[in-house]
Amino acid sequence: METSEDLRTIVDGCIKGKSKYQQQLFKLFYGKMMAVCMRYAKDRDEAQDMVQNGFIKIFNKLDVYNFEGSLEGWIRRIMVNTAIDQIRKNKRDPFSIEDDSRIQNMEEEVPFADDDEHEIKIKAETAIKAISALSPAYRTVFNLYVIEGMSHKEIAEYLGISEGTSKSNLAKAKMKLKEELSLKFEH
Amino acid sequence: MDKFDNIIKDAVEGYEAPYDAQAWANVSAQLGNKGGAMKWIVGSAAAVALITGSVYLMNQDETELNVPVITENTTVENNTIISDNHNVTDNITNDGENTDNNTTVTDDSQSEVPTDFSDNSNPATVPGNAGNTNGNSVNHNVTNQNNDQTVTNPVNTNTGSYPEDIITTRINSKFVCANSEACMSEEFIFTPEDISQSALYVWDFGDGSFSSSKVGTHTYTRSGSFTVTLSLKDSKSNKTLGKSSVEVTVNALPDVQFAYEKSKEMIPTITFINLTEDATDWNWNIKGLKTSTDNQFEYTFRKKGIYMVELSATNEYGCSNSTQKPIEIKNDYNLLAPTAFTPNGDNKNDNFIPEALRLMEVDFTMVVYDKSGKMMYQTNNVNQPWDGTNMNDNSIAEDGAYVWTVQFKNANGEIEYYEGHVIITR
Repeated sequence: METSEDLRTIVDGCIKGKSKYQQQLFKLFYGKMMAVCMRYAKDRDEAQDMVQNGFIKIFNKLDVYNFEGSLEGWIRRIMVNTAIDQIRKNKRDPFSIEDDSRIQNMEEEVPFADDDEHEIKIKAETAIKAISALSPAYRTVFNLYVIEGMSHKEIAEYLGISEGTSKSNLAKAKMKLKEELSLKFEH
Repeated sequence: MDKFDNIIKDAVEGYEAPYDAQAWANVSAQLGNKGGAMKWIVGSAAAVALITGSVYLMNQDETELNVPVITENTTVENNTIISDNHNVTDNITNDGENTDNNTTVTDDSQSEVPTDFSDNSNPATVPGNAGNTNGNSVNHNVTNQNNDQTVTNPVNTNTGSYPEDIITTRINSKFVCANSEACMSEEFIFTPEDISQSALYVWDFGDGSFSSSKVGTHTYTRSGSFTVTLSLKDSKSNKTLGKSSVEVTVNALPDVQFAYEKSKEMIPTITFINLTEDATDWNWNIKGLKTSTDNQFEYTFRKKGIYMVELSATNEYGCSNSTQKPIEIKNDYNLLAPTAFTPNGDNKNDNFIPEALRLMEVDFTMVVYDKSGKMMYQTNNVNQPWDGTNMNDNSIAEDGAYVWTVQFKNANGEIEYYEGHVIITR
């Protein structure tokens, strides 16, 4: 990884609009950010759109990055925002509950006891594919809660939904994922 | 966060999508095009200003007559461009189209005040031509009309004396590439500023390769600097109508190499050594398991299988290359846990604990569950292995299969997590 001084050079170069540095920054973070977007998108094309729009935003906003906190964290936040904006754009009311079955806060901390779950290493591609297959509402809450580590309260504020919806969507997302992933293990 | 969350998080967290040069080309084009779009907007604003300017001038002389002139101008615009590109010398069809479109206007202006019309519009059109950008098509159009009508303006005298020059400068053979510098494996995309012309587009990429598609794309197979030339040729006469060149630099890729060795411990650790010489940054990746940017790195594979280990490296030019090697692990090392034990008091195999924990000297937590997920036993001490009793009520656990999990922090501060099955047979 680049030293912080190298990063500063790259960021300064990007702010000046120098293509060489923009490409360096892009190369440094593309892989990680594409991985982030792939979890928010329904397919590769949508992820590609998100990551490209995200980078354009990043290049345009880079002059407000003040080197407090990690650059990667800053870039990732913009990327997640871009991804969610794009989901919002593509669908009306995308984060609300889809069906009316009310599953409240499912029981957490269930140890792995089932036979088909002893295989605990899941391939990144398999996991991403399963997450992508979720509906936008489930996918977004799952990503924000599990991967970005946001609380239900934060998610509710961020997406403009109720905490109950956030909890219920997470529970249903996890149920679907477990179904999907354990199906995979059987083969 | 429950265990399921952690599994997904672990699976997803280290993952990096492979680099995609096309994605950069798209982003770069959008970043660059912003400047282009601005120019275009300024250009067309200027064109609008010119039109309104000339309309204003015309309005001074005439009244209602000029309103249709604007609409005619804008509609004629496209036609003229097309005919322009077909062949500038092809003036007969040009005339035909123009007069078709302009029936009302040309008739009126010619019959009423032809000299006024050209005099007024000339000052506006001349600077437009000098600018010679795409946005000025309206002005070309106006001069074209003037060509047909009068022979008094400066553009026309030019056409008379140096027709060839006019032809070559009229054809816009300029092209843009998102980057003038790229790595050997990356594709250059050269986009002509004007791809609407019917001329032949001939690309010479400077390394002995050519292309005849309108948008030139090329991936160089050696490094160095090359001159890319776009020639626009008349499809009939093969005469070159316009020619532009751009210099591009192709940077070499790093030669990525690594070696590895296996330690002789009970659970062997594989050490990977970076042998890449011409790189400034590198990244190790064992798919889904571990990534590292250290020069040397090691990994202990716990499960048998064939693992793809990838080393990618970036050199001083920002060019990346990678290599992969499969590593075969022949045995499962699930903490060397026995798969069954016999807690019947005969002092043989009466207790259960994964063997490796006895050797590792780590602070671990082992938990045993029954098949329904109920906790049976928990310990942090290798000297207190599971003796086959239910910790909750000290009852004897039935014969059958149980699930154990072990979690500890390794020397690198990472949490390692294991689980397996153990069977009690008394």
